[in-house]
Amino acid sequence: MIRVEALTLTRGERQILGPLSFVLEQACWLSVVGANGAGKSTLLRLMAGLDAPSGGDIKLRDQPVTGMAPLNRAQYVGYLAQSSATSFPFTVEEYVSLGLVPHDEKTFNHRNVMDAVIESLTLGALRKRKVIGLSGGEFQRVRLARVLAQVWFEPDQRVLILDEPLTSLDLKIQDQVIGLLEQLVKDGLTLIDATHQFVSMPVHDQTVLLLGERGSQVGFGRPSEVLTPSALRTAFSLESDSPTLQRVFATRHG
Amino acid sequence: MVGAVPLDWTQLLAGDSQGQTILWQLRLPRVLLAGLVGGGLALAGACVQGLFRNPLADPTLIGVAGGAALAAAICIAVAPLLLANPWWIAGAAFLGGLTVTFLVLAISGRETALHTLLLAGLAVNAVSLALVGLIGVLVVDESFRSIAFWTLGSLNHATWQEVVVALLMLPLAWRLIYRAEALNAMVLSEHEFSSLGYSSQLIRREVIVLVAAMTGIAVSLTGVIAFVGLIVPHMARIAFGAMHQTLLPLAFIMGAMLMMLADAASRTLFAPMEIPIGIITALIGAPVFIALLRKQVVSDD
Repeated sequence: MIRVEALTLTRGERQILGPLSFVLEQACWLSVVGANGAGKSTLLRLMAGLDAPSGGDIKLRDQPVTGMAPLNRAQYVGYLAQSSATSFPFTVEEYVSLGLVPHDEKTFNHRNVMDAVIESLTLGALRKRKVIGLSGGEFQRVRLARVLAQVWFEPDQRVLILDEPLTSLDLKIQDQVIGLLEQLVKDGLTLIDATHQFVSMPVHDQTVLLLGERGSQVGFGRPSEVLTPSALRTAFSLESDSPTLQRVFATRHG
Repeated sequence: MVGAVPLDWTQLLAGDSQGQTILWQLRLPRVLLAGLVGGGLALAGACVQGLFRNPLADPTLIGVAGGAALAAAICIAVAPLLLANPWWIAGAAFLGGLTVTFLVLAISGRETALHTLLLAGLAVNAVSLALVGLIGVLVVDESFRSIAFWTLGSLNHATWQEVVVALLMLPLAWRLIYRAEALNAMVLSEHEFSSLGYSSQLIRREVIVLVAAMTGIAVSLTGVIAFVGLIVPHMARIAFGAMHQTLLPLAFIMGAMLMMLADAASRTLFAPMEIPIGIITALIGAPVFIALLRKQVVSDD
């Protein structure tokens, strides 16, 4: 369980995020939604314990995330940044195996986890390929495999934090990845992602956190309750006759 | 065995004392120094590339070597009697290299884009070598090595004492190889790297200090020998893969071999005249660098 209490982040005088307060049960999928620059990525980094908040705290099983020893935290919390590129010829297998670095070989059979992760993202044919030769979509799958390897074993113990994981994936692979993530959440994983694809979101049994201007909390809860036309207009500063907004609600209710 | 004065095994074994002196006092320390410096620069280069997440980084290109040369030159010029022993000079070069690395890091910022990195290095190098040249003009002293020594590199000064100083690089190299797993993980983004349980700052600092120390030792002994730290790690990566557990030791071995070959060439190509070894490494290295640069620019688009 993750408990966020009065979380704020300020840089100088400027408020960047918060105040945010919410509670997330284990085996739950939280999508963080908001305009560009609303602080989605910032919040994910705070939740992953990679940055310290200015006020309030984030507790993972009653323990402040920032207070955890880095290696201990790495065993429970996986994090995927919005993007990363490389110029080094690591093979797909070598890249994915980086996710196993925090885990002891004795408690975590590296070989089995690798095989399972690679198969679940259908990367088998690419195993020995160099990551620098891959297409954008292939590399994104490899990055996902790396972070999945980190939280694969006993998912009910772990938290996975993904910053726009579906970027540059085609629709078929998006379906595959969403299915895979849903299965992991069913198995007990706590998943937090930042996304712009809230149009498709109500398909899943998700929780949504809607961030407004300067990272303020506009809404938290079930998508149908949080993503109302008026809340979206506030969060994204949209005109009332915004075509996108009309399309979203036409798809949803039509 | 090759050099300006031809030596021959049978004569040496028969007790040719002049030949034995050349072998033991001149050639052997020189070959060993070449190997240690070449290996050290190549391994340091591989680490700098991992650290900056960029295969075009190199201790000489990003200014570390220039800073080390400047510090060593100041050390020799300011107090020739007190400080002109290899240990002090190596220490000063280490501090110079360290200062410059932090400077370059500060200039190019966290994500260290390629162009800022290379431009910062270029500027720092130009300033450092200009100052070395200035010191060379102002200080009329036998002990001050020529500007060519610092900018092109030379193994002329190789004695056993220098070899002993160069051996200091081995424990540093060992420590860097011990950090191979963290260097692998640096292929990820900064925050992903931290999310694996590493303290990004601590590891950066450790690698920088070790690399500056190795580069400082190398530069204080042989001047700035360019491109070894750039092309050898690259060749090793193509041949043996990017995992630092294998890359670092193999880069060391390949760097040592390349440098010994380049040194043999520098002594024999125009014998009895000797060409600075940096000329040979630059002639091989610069075209490879340009090819790499073009490739990277293409892939960045």
